[in-house]
Amino acid sequence: MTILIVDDSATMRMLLRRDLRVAGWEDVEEAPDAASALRVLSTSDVSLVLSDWHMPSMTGLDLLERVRNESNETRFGFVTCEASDKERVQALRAGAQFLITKPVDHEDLSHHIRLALGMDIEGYSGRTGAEERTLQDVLTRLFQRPVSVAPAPPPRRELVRTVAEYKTDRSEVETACAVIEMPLAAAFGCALGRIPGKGATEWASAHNLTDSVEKNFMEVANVLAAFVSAASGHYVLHGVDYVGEGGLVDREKEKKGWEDCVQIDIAGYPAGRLGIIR
Amino acid sequence: MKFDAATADSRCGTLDPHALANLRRFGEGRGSETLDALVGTFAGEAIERVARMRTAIQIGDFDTVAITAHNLRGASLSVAGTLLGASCARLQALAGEKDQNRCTSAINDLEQEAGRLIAELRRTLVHGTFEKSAE
Repeated sequence: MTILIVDDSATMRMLLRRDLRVAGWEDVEEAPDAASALRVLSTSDVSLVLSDWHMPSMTGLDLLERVRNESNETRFGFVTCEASDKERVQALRAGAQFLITKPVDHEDLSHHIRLALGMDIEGYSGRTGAEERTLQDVLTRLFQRPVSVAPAPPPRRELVRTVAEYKTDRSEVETACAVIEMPLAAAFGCALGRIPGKGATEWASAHNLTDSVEKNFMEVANVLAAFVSAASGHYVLHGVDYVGEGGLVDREKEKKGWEDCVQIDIAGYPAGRLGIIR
Repeated sequence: MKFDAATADSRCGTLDPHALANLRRFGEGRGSETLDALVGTFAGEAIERVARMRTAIQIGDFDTVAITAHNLRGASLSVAGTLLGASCARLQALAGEKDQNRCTSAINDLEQEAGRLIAELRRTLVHGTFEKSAE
């Protein structure tokens, strides 16, 4: 699995290569500009491009667009000095999986790369790239904002739970427990206009299910169920119920195993993970 | 003289402690040679970019000034150079205003700050790590 670093700074390439080596990626290629990167991409099987944004001649965004014209399989992350909200939106809209800023925290970098590649992630259900893009499309249409979806470990922090019943294509009713992290639950509430945007981070960081969130939870749950339903063709939403005010997942449930654990980033809102237990 | 990280850090308060800790890890297990190479690479890059920006200011190519300052800023912050990063940001902003006189003044300040940073990095990381590893 090859990672390609694209940065016109030799210092940055040295530092990133070292961070990647520490995180376990030895197969690393380097390019000092976008044109050289395209040459590497045409001859090597690159899994992920790690690119600066501002480079002479061709920007990282131009490079991403060229990459996406050829393939949706190659993962792409930006490592840049600073990023405005507008640039973050541009990056996601153009098909980037993540954007992080310099100086790079090597653990943060490793986390984002693992999410983007779906590697060595506990509980990862083996979603295909196509399924991720379907879910991304559904969420993008729903929120009218750029959204990125990547495989993720199961949610572990403060959680909101729903139980949803689904009819399978064999007309059997099955129950799924959807577990969602507070930042994402708040994001859903915000995106639907039910929770003021500026309050989402505070609610999420407080790890406290407030009355406001509770009041909006049915809406959140419906959204959640709607996209799960839409993303998995053989499941049809039968009903949704609110069963509690969050907390850790039951051990009994957890034994059954996670499916479809994903990290969801909605532009302008706190990111979070969503997991389904069937 | 034994390396004293606390003394070294207080001597170079212009360095970002978090980025500095990352850089120290860069050399772990491989002695000072790796850090020497890193600092040397950064020094060469900084000198080349300062020269490029100086030329660009003289001919009024402010786009090149802005993008080069931006790129040097990223590398500076990554080697703990908070003040040099701030100098780069200032020059980048002035380039946006296409103010040749103020850009010239800013590149002079930036060049001095780059020299200070490179000297501090050598003193703190390269020599400090070498003496520490020789204890």
